[in-house]
Amino acid sequence: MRFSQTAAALLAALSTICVALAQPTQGKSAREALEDRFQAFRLKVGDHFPEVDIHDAEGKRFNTRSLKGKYTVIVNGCLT
Amino acid sequence: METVYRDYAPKGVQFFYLYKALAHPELHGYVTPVTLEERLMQIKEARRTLGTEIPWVCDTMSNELKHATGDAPNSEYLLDPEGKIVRKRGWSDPDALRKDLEKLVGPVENPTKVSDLNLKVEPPPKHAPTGIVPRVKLPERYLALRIEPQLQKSKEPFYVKPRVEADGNFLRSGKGKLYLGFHLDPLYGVHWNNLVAPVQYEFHPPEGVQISPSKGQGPKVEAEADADPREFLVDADRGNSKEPARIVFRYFACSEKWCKPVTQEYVVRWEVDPDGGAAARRAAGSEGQVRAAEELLKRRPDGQR
Repeated sequence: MRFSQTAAALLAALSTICVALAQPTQGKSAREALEDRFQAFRLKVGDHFPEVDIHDAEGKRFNTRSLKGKYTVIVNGCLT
Repeated sequence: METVYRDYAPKGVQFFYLYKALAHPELHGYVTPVTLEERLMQIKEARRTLGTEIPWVCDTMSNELKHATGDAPNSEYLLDPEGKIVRKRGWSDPDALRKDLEKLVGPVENPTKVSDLNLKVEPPPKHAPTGIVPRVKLPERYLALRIEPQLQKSKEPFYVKPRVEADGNFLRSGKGKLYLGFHLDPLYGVHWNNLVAPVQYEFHPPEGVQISPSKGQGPKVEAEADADPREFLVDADRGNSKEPARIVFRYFACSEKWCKPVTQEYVVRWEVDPDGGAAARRAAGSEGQVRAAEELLKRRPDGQR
């Protein structure tokens, strides 16, 4: 892939990062089907975010409870 | 998302990308990391190639936070200062998030546009030619099996990552086809040196399990160097066994300056890896095949619903 095409593709991916694998169900788009499944997941609006030990970008462990104190946005992502 | 970050981080909102399992291994050559250090290398690579400014955090190697938050590849959570979920989306929507933050934190004069970003984006690495060794074509969507690198048995990094996938017949009945692929990890800057011995694999199945052929080696390639995967299709019958198999693979890891023989091992379990993702070239399948694959994914590891 040429660099300019690569850059355009990567920039387009900035708002999404990873491609979903959701498949269409009856009359619904793949995106709608994924959203339905996700909203049915047990974690709901109003629940506390799970407290899990993860890592910062240098590998240092921390718990997600330490994110309290500010509004926080967490978006899942990866290289591909 | 980067535009929303530019506008709302100065207002005290925290933003993070959570790095988790690859949704599409093999796309641009990137492969599933086997250690935390390799996942952190991929975070650096994501910053380099995508030009991201939002800080990254890293899920555990067992993808605990991804599992605890709904397993969607690009989900988005907005939390209040008490840690409660204010909004959750299965697919991140920066425009909708901006509207949420306008209500919670306040609007921004002159919101940043994508054209304002000027992020530094760089291409994925390429250390040797590709498109030289023909790829294995699969007739249906195969699913990744859970494999465990035997890290303690190797002093070298896993320059090459194997990937084991099974067809629907194997997953339903224990008898079918397995895909075995050996993929160079581009973050190590290595390539195949075709002047030395090709990659070799050996399956060591437990009693009652048949793999054929149980040994194999990569093809003879005229080009001196390439970066194509080395792929094999084998017949497998695991009978009633639930015991895992071992794979030993031998290869030469070669950079521009050195070449070293490497022997590494994996344990292969007869269960779908829910974090295995869909390999970029082999994600295609009819809608019916993909739905059948999803049904198989929902089964318990022992194959029962």
